[in-house]
Amino acid sequence: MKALFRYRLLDDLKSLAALIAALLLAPILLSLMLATNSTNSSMTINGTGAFSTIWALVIGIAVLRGDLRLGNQFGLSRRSAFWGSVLSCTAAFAAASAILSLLTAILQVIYQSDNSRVKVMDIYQFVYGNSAAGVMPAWDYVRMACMLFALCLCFGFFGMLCTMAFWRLNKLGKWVLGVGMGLFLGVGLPNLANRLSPWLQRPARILATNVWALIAFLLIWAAVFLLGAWLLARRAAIKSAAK
Amino acid sequence: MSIELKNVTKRFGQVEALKDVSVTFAGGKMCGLLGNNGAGKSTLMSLVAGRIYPTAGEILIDGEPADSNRAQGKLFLMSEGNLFPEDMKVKTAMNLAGGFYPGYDKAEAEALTERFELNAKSKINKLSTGYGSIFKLVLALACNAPYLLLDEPVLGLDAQHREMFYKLLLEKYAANRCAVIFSTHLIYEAANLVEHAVVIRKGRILKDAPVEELTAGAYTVSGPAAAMDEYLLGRTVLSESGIGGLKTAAVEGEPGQVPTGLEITGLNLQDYFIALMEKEDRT
Amino acid sequence: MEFNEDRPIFLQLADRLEEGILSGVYPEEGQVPSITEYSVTYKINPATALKGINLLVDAGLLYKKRGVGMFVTSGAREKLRGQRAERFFENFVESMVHEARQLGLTEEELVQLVKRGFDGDVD
Repeated sequence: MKALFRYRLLDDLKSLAALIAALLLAPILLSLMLATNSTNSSMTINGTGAFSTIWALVIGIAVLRGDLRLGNQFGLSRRSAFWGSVLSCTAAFAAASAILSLLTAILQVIYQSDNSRVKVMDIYQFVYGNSAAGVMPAWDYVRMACMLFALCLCFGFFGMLCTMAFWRLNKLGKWVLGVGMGLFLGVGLPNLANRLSPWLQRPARILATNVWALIAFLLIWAAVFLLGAWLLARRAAIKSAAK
Repeated sequence: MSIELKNVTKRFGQVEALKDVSVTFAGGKMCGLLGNNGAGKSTLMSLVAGRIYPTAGEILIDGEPADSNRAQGKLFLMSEGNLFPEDMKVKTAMNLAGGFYPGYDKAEAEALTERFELNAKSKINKLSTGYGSIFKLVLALACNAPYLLLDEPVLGLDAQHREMFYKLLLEKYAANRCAVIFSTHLIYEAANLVEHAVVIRKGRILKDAPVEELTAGAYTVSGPAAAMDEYLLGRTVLSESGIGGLKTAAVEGEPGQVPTGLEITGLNLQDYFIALMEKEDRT
Repeated sequence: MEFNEDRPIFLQLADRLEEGILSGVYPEEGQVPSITEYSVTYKINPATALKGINLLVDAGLLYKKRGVGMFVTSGAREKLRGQRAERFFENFVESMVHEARQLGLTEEELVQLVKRGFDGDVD
């Protein structure tokens, strides 16, 4: 299992490096733009959270099937292949969260001065921190990293669940799932949220004020998705990928 | 030391690909898995390699359930499909293999790659059918696993490469005494390579015996039709054909007292297989 | 190098080995190819090759030097000729004598016929 872990981790870290490069590009470009632009505008960069969750989701969708196949070809049991893939992605998510949090801190420190017109911020600060200030107290960055990690796990494992669902379903099922999910997210969920809004007020406030509550919430969903993915993966039939 | 299938049934939807199959592949022996298309050979091998799961029954490798690391780590299945990630190169796969198979010999893999003139820089999914097979065969030979499962290993290989492969396989077998399960349509080529043969038909095991026993247990007899008819009475006739007043038949059993005018010859494994299938088709 | 279908392969291999010894291709105290070499050259299963070789080992025509390989025992040629002579007797002479008796030929008449064969009529 170690070999698969190493392989997947390296692969993930490569794509993480790409993500980080892209994320760093934004502030750098912006500073350049602003430096050449004399008007008194300011810009806020806000996206580490969003980008990293999307990155995690994509990883979850993309890696699991390939890893199960590769694992089987090279003599790993289904369980080892699955957990090798999951654990290495988890490690990658942890690394990503730590690095991104650190980078945000560094960038904020760099752009701290009063006449800096670039403001780097992130969803964590927006929701839980003081969005007016530039740099947050140190512990906030730790909490931010934890939040990012939980977000990655939640979305990453959701991606894995989706990929397994699509694998196991026949054509009709895929169609139904695809359309169904779209409908649910676009129409059903907002409607449901509206309907339930009086009851959701309190939980929502708890989540919005206590980051650990959000983290717990995300981790529970992550566990659910992971379990779902495993249940679908354990007896899946492994064949070569369709050309 | 063996691979055991115990009352294994595998159903795909409505189709029963394997029906209550019980067979043991002894360790250290080369066994041919013979059968027509759709007979269940690939299904059987996929089940052993943990790619699919039985509907009923169990599969044990050296006494351990097939779906465990200890079991799977002992075998390598080479089959038609490509299980490697898109865009992975031959070289990458060969380097990775060492982390999974303790007996993997990278130098051997590289030497074989050269011998077969396989392009190590090529992407796996871009290889031709023949070189796709060769790539997997190189891995199979270099991983030095105790159980080699080869599902149509020479698919797409030209005659020269087939020769090379058979010789390399025999050398590997002589050196490691690994178990080899070899399914092929080219029975004629494989006949002398394997010690044991398992014949599978429509999801059931028809024969499971040493090759010598199968070929020694059958013969061809030919001669004038009338004498043939008389001779064949009461015998297990596998197949018959005739032209003019002459008849030829493949028969199971001992020739016994052969009347003059009838000629007896031996039967090679391929002809035996064909005759056996003809008999089964009739019943 | 093909094997025919009429006799088990290991017997055919054993025959070839014996021919090799008789003809001197495999000299006495000389090494014969290993099982792997036979297996790979003739494309037969090593177990089959082993069976054929063991026939000769059992007959005292070959012996194994540990760590080195299989060798032809000294006196193997003579032994083989003796064996073949014995086989010749069983396969041909016995039935010839039987036939002769049936026809009422005497021993001298039979020997004359055999001499005739050696003198020129048969090559």
